Amino acid sequence: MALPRSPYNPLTHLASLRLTLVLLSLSIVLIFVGTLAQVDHGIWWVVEHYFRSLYVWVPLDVFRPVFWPGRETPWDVSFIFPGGFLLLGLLVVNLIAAHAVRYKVRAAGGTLVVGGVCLLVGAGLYALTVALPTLADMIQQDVMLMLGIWALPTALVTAGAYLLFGGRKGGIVVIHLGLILLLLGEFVTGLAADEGRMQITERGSSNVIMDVREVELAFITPAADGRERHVVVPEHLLERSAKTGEPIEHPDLPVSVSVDGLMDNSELRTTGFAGGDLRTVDFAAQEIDTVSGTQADRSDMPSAYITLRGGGETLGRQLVSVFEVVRPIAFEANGRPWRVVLRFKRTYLPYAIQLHDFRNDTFTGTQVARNFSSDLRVVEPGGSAREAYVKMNQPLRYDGKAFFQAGYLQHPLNRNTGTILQVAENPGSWIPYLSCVIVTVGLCGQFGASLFRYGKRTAAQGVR
Amino acid sequence: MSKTLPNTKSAEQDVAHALSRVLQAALPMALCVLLALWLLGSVFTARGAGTAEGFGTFDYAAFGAVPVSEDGRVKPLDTLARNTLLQLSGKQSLVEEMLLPGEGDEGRPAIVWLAEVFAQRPEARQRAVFRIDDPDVLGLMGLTVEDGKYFSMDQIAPHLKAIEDQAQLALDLPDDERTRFQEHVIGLRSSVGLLFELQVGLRPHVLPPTAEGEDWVPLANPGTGTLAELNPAAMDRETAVSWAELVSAYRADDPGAFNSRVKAHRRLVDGEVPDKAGKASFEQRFNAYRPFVKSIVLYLLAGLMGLLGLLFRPMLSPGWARSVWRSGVGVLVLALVVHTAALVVRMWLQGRPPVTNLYSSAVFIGWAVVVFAVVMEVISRLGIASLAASIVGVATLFIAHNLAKDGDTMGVMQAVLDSNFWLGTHVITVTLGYAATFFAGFLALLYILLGMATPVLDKKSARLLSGMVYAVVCFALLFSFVGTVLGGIWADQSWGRFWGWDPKENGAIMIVLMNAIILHARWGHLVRDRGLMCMAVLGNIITAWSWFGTNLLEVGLHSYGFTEGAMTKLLVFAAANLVVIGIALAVPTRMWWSFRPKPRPTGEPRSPKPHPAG
Amino acid sequence: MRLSLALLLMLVLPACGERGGVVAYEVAAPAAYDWPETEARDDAAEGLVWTVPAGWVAMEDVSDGLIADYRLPGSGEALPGRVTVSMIMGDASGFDANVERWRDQFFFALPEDTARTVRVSPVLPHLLGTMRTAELHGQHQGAAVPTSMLTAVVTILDRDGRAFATWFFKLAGDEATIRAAGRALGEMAFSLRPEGMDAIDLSGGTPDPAPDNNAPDAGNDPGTDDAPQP
Repeated sequence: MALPRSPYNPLTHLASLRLTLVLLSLSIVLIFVGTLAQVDHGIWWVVEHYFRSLYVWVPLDVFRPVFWPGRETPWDVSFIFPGGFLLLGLLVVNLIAAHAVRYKVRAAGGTLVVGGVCLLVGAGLYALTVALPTLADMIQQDVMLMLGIWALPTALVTAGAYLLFGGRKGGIVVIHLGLILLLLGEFVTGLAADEGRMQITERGSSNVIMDVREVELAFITPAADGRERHVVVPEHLLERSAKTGEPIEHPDLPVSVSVDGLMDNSELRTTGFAGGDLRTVDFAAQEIDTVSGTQADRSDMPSAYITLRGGGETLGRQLVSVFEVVRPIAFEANGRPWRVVLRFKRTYLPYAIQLHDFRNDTFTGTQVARNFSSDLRVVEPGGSAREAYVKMNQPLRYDGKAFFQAGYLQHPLNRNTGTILQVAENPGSWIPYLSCVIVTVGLCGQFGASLFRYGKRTAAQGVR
Repeated sequence: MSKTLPNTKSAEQDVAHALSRVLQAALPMALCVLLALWLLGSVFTARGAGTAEGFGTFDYAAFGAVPVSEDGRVKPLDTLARNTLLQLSGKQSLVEEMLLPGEGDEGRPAIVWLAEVFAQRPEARQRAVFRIDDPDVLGLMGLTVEDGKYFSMDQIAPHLKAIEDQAQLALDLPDDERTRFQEHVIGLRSSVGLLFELQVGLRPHVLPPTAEGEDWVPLANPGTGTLAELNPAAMDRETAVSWAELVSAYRADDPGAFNSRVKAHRRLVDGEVPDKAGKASFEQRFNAYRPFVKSIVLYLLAGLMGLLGLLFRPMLSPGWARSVWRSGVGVLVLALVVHTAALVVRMWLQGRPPVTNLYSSAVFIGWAVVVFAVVMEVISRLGIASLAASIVGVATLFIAHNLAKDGDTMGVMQAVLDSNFWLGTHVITVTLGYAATFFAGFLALLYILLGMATPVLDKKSARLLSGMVYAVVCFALLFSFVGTVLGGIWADQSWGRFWGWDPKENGAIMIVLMNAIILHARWGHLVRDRGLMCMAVLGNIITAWSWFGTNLLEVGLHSYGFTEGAMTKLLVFAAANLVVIGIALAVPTRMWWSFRPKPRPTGEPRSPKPHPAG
Repeated sequence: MRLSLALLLMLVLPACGERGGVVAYEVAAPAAYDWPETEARDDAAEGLVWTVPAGWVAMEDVSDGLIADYRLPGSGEALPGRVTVSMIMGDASGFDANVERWRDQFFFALPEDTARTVRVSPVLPHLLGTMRTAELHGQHQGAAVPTSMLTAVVTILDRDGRAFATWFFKLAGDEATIRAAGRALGEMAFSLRPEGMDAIDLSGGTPDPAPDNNAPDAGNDPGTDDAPQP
């Protein structure tokens, strides 16, 4: 290898294979502690603090479930560890530097031209497949079709890489290209992807997507044409107010609001029946441990105590909660009626989805679900409608979003059922698919070549 | 060793030489033919072996093949009996403690017990089929651990009220706040409930559908929960009558009537659901054949022969070394044939790809490792790959045997997992990744152990072995990477999230990273053979974590009993691997027995060390 | 090198990205579900007929244990109204025991408040025997919003005056739904008759089966007496 391996070239150090190994090993440790941390914390909390961060303070306590399962008292010791973003970033830098230093284009003359053309045409075809809207849509619908369409460009790119970088390194170049694409895909996902859930009761209609990972405080007042005006305070402002004690003020808000306490997860108890009537039950909320990542199918139920002040008047300290039994706070300001609720972060759709029928088939004599399915109708504001059928592993794709069958609701009183749809929107969702194709081809090429050489060597050593 | 003079070959020596060559050729062949005859012969005797007709003259084998529907799957009563008894007692058949006075001390098949339960015979209440380990639960019933491990319904019945009260208290708590005692009380209560449901006819669903769109139904009315009221859905089914006759014949202790009623009932059921009935009947024979037990025996034999062949290779002539090697590989291949057949039968019975739960993953990992090993063995002819495969084969089948205690090993799939396409692609690929990483790890363990503690790992073998480990790690990376990404794609297809950092995904990516580290270290010449081996052994720990550790985490912090023990076993496995790595790194290679610089031979010149294949 | 720095920045930036402040927007209620319009008609089962009020929609796949299942279009957003019809042979352990069981399911129904939350009618005459109604309001276990239930129980008597079968007409939903549809439910239960017989005209001075007017402790206007207006 002809390397500009001078110690003065900073790339040489960045490209070091030792650095790669150190970073990969640290990644394994990070993933391990990030897995253990899910015993005590919610999965999204862990993702934010461990995997999408620059560094993380890891409490020694995370090892408790493995080494001291019965231990109750926590240790107050933490150590600092590089976070996912830092490791990932350094790995990308290391990888690119390594290619800059160690991977030289070997080809010359005709081979160089042919290889370059292959590479460029392949890349162009990839771009074409994802840029053409109809094709992109088809790809989303059918994995096999997608793999078929990508066969040709992948073959071209691979051929190009082998021609340019030679038999020993071509495969590695292809693998690394695919890996960079994979990381890029995760990056696009982190930036642009959105997910939430939608609940529709049978013979009901909904246009709301909820994100149960975040709450918001909504001030709602009637507007013209039967519409409603929502003024929404996001969670991080509530958190800041809870921390600093400063009230939140905004021209759109009818009153100022200060958060006295925000509970990430809470339970309610009744404190009395004002006036002896059931509809005026008083509740108190109490903070409890957040749901951990290993407790699947549960989510945190936040509550908050807030104080509303308007026109020199205060409405006192009141409870708001995502529990629907806690009724909204009602008040009037500037002659308009308002109600205030704490709710999971909402996104309103311009169209509505209606549920005709939800079916929950179980295996004979068991409670094990065989299939969940929902008969849906999507109704656009103009009145045009489209029927859809969603079941496990078969989502509805509409408006750039995918609606997956995630679960169901059943009312305890009259057994009315409803559906829970997981709604995901990710413009980069095709990237991992492509990257998988590329890396697989590269790995097969590389190992196929190794195996061939191994076989030849074994034969040459005269072992029969 | 006697020294032969080259030019004085007598006729006798010629004969002896020819004879030994014939023997060398015959040994593997004879061994394999004998074992194959045993395996084939058992196919025909299996009907009686597991379900023994010898107790009274009741035809338990025919009864055990009667299909019923339970937990969403049609299965023979024999499977139901084994699984239920396993759930209650941890045993698959009636062991000594569960026998009644006068029954001798030879164990009896579980189907005997199930027949007694259905017929509500007094024996069903007298047999000590409930295993209770928790001293506090025993204390609740006025018993202590000295009273034994197994208890009968008659012993438990007086305390049912206390058990129910305690269980209700425990059930009101969230599952992560229960004490060990409370977990066990709940377990005992559900065991008692299970027996009750079998006895009153709520379980299993014994009556097959008689028309399209109908389903299997139980005899008792699920609404009232007693046999006193027959299930309205069962009223017009002929099989209800034949079943009732069969049970009452057993209750009346009338073998002749019982045997003919069993036949009559089976004829009716066969008429309604011929496919299912055929499968159930086959499954009963499959149970009786016990293919995995046979595989374990063969793997043990192959492993033993492989080990002896390796250790005594220096003392054997090349011809005999090859003969022993061939025998070992032959036995291994036979074991693989049984293992493969069992895997295929399970797939056919279940109508699914081979890996559907933890149990089948253990079976499949063992199988895949043996397949890798046979290929490697044929190429390398070292005898080491097959030894590693025998060890992994025995270990995984043993683990599977223990996992079977969780219930039906061919249970139905949750809706979200119910996709043969993804079970056949993602799950298979990622499990192959586990298998390849384990195989590399065990090869590396053998490299270190044989290299250090024996003289058999000569330079050439060592180089070949390290080449093998490298190649297997390459495959491991390929499979684990593709499998992991396919898992992401499945997740994206199922709920729109490619990667969610959940424990299982994290476990898979750790294996990918570990394999990537090994390969990069090797490509960059940062490690040599010893380092490669140590890293591959590290792969064992990570794979074991991904396979089991992540499942153990999901039960949370406050889990007791089996899972607590499982985490300890995992730690012991990890520690053992770490110790090997530690020793391998601490002792310089030149001090390893195999690699010790040989002193110049001073005495008689020894023939060059023979290779097993000559 | 520059490229890698850019990539690194791209990876780091989302971690400390801008987060939004207070926002205001207007939303419309989602397009309501398109229910088919139905007219009053007769349904039949077990040799008996009853008249289903106009507007109620019969569900096609009725779950086990039910004879009929109707939905009430346009009722309660959080808890759409539902009417189920079921039958049990015999006296079904008696009216009082059933009311007691339902009351236990409403866990905020306090003992001292029984009069408000559970109201039962006296025994009413019915063509086939007797009829009673029970109305419950409160917080049903596990329900997110206050819930209500109105059940009309028709006991069919044999020649000796013993209970031969008991029919349940159960309306569940929010309180407004019960108020709006309660009378229609009573009329439906009252219309239960042998097949082939014409329906009795309720407008002709027969006793009003709606429970509220007959409940001993209820005023004449059930809509206002039990809830102090906020």
